[in-house]
Amino acid sequence: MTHTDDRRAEFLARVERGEKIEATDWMPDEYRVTMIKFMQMHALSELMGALPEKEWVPRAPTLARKLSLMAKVQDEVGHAQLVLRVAEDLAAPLGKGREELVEELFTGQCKFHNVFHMPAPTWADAGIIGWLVDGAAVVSQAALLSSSYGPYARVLQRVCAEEGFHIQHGESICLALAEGTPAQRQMLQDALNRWWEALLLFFGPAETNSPSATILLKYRFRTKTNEELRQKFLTKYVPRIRALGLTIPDPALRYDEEAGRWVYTPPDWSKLKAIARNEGPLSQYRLGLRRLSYEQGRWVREALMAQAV
Amino acid sequence: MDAVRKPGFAEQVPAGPLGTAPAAPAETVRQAPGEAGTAARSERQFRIYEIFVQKDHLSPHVWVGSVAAGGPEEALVLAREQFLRRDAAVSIWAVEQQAIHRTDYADRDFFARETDKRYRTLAGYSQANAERWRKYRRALLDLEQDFVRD
Repeated sequence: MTHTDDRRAEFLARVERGEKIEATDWMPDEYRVTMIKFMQMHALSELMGALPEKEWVPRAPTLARKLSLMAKVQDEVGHAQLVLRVAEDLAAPLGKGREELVEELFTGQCKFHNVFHMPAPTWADAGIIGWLVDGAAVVSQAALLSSSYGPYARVLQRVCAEEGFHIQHGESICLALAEGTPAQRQMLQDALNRWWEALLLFFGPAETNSPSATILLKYRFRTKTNEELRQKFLTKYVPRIRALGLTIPDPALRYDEEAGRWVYTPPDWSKLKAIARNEGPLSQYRLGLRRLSYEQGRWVREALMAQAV
Repeated sequence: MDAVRKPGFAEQVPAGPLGTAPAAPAETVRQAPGEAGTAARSERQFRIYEIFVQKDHLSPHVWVGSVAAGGPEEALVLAREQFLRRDAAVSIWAVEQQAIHRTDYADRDFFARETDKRYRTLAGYSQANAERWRKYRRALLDLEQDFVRD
């Protein structure tokens, strides 16, 4: 056994004991590289998530709704900054900085979450995003609060607390529509129909045998599989959706008491693959917006950076 | 919006990955965040400030996270935007990350607790004291019962 093998074994034993890893600790390359990639995707997804939301700020029906939506958009950008800071510290020894991490979105080296490639054509979509998309995000992020990577687990505490507000806000929009006119109820149902498949795709394929998924589980960065998280989401939200009198657009959806799990029509996984290649309905449009805002903000960043000399 | 838009900005999009991908790291790399690679790169960079927030005058400043900023003044403004969108506070400290002296997580010996520390704590005394007091209380109760009997 070489010295490095010893260190790897010791590292694995540490995470298996439930110890937390810090940015300054020795770690195997595969841990560092995979964690950076995961956090980079999380951070950039937060940033991209602000885009479909912000489309609705000028069109939100009341001033109160505009204010809460703006608060939410600010939170998402704030989460991106928090997670990016953590990723940046881990990437620093590789000579990789914030700019590279952010710009890999444009080159397609870093993906962003599937739900943010989708259109949000009505106000009910804004509600469904807040309630169910953020609900799905909290299910997966809450499972990461015990992540082996300490700095990430720490920022997630703030992220999850603020996402809790987003869900309440989304619920409030959906409840108002569900209790509204027949046209408003129909708008909510249509939005649910549009988002249901994306919500199932959100958690990724059940068979998590990709190299990075294996590494994430092995080192306890994650402790739950995609399917476990999807089941958790269904358990929490299916009864709530039905309680509002909405119909989930999957006739095969049912809870199998014996197996103790939800049975559902599998979503079209090829859509997830297309989205991963940035070929989703609004992938290029939203990337274009992000690129525009990145370039328009460049002079601000440079003006700030100049003072650092 | 139009005031900050400069013509042609949208076209100046980075064409591809900047430079070549960094070589795979040696697993022996062990640098503190902030110590890393700063010398090799441009001086025009953000600095990292660790942020401490004091929520009221009777509370200590508590570390909440970090921000990337050009200087201390921006760091304080960014910290307010990042960490105080909802919570109230009376003070923020921004400390440049490189200025922080830290212990090494791996140095367990530094935090060794070989000896029993109970003699320094409440718990080291409270139980024994309570048992003793019970005896006195019992005596007191006996007295009261005698009194009632009389």
